[in-house]
Amino acid sequence: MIELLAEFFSFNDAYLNYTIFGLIFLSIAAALIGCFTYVRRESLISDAASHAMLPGIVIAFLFSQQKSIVFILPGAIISSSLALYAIDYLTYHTKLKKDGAIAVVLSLFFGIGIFLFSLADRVTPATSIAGLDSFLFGNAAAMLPEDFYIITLTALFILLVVILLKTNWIAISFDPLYCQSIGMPYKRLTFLLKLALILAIVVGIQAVGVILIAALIISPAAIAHFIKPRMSFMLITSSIIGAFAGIGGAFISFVSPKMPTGPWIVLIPIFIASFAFLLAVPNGYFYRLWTANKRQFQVVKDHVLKAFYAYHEKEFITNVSRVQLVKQTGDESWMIKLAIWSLKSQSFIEKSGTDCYQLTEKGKTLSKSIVRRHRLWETYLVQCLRIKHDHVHDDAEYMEHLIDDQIENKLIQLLNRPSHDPHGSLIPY
Amino acid sequence: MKAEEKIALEAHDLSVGYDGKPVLWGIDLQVPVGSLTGVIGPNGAGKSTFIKAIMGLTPTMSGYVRLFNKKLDDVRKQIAYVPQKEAVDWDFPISVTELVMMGRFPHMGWMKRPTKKDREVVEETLEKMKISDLSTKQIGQLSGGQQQRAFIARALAQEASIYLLDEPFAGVDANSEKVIINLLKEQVKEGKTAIVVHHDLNAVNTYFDRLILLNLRLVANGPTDEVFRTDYLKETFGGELSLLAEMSELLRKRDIKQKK
Repeated sequence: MIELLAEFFSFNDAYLNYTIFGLIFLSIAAALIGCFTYVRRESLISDAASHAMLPGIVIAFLFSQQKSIVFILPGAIISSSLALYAIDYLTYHTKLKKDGAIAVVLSLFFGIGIFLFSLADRVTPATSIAGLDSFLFGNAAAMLPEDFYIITLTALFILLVVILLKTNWIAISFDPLYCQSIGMPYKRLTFLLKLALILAIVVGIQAVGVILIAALIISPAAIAHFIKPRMSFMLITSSIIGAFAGIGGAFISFVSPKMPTGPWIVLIPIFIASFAFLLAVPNGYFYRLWTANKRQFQVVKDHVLKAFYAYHEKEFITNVSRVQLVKQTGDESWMIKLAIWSLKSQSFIEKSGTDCYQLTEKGKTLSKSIVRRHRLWETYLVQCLRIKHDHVHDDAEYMEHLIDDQIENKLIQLLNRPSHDPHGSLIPY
Repeated sequence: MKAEEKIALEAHDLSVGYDGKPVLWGIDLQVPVGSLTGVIGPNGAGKSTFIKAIMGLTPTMSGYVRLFNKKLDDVRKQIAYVPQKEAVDWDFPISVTELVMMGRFPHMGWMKRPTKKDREVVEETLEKMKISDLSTKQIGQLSGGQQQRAFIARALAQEASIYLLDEPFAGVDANSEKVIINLLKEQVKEGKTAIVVHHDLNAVNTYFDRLILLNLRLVANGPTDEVFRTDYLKETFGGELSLLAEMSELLRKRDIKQKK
């Protein structure tokens, strides 16, 4: 395995290099266009556009009797454009909604494609048809220098138009009405975007196949959007993800040239996606778990400080043992130990005997403010929202952690600096 | 209308429709420069269509629109349009600043690279709409009222002469409504013109100095104190126009196309 990797990354084999860089470029092109397709909610349209290439490919093959990209390309572009036009026509002129129109057009074109495909299988000699099925599931190992040049040129073209038209495309995708109102060339920009989509698909079909290429277009954009929903970030991140998918696909075709590359290229972004779902900041699973725990920990610390206050208020005790703290807070979890340790290290409390603690000056101020916020909120609920005084404690129990200085000042002003809470306890200022 | 008043908008025998079926019939009206005009009418009266027709976003079947006595394409830069809030996808991955920067597009080259001045104008408008602190937020994170203010900030950044707003007060909190109406009044004081589609009769006479009452055709157009009358309102919102609506429906059903 390591030898294979070493050989792969030595970049010594010219033909292998064509495959590697061809795949990287086409994946980046697909990912860039995919960002626009994704935010326009046209993911399914890209799927229809790619499936609809099959009849064009087979017809081009039947006429030319060659699998060369030079002949296949125009055929694929024409039939895909026809399909996109058909979707627009059906949506506009019939009662069919967009999703219905997409489904109808996709299955119609793909059905015709498969029909022609089996026909071609019968009428042509077995040697020349062999490899045509790479257009279904993709096979990067078959990539020729001429394929590479066409892919590179197209990818460069797409990169260029994305750089030049990025802002325009974002605008027309977000608010077509407004863009038309200020006189932007809306129709031409939309046409260019669709053309770029078709081009991105068409250069990818031989390596990825018509069935799966939509995934290469959409998934990098979807992952990037999950990590950070900003267009500029998505364009860069999805390109990087696309490049990885390309390298991965090339490696697979290097290790096992007969294996279809499409499924692998598509699986790599999904693999990256699962990492993103776990690790992304701030949307990933672990980060959210961590912040939830952090918040919970803060609550426990607040409760410990409040426990000191309660002992002092009720029994005039300032030295409180850990057992008493556990009893007062009703919290027996591992967090309480950690909370005591953390409060001590932040010098809110200090040791005052064996397993006994007392508040420092800093701790006194903080515990007072938590109790004050709790009681202010209770007062607010009873006075302003006319909630019964025996129903307000639980609500205040979590509001006390959320109220900041600003809200506290508003409450004090609103309630005219009340001296006692609804239960008759003193509000400490 | 006084003779010395300059005309901001003139619609002449304007009929608008989709696919040969009219939604608005023979609108004739003029709106003077420096007025704050409300467009009032029931649901489906064609208020939004009227606004869109002014900008040529819907196919006109007859008649024409002139702005500042010029053809639309000569004055496009002068029109700032605020579509209905529901017209766009607020989950779209752009920030408030990027949204408002769109308002500078008419001043930029075709590659839309903002200059220092563009950035300054955007900052100022955000300040004016009191959403500066939200500038880097994704637009979906804003409340309904803040979204509407961002939308209006974009129109403001355009530095246009006439504002066309489609339901700017729908689904907006009281504070935002106040910010928006004060801004419009201030703009009008500076000599700008604003035409505002409004969904109900509340506050009509305090908000607008002119009204266009619309229900498939023009019912009335003039200063609020002259037009805001029970009989006109009854005609706009009542059943007197049902025959026209019925005919429209019939046209649609029979698939009869009116000649352009």
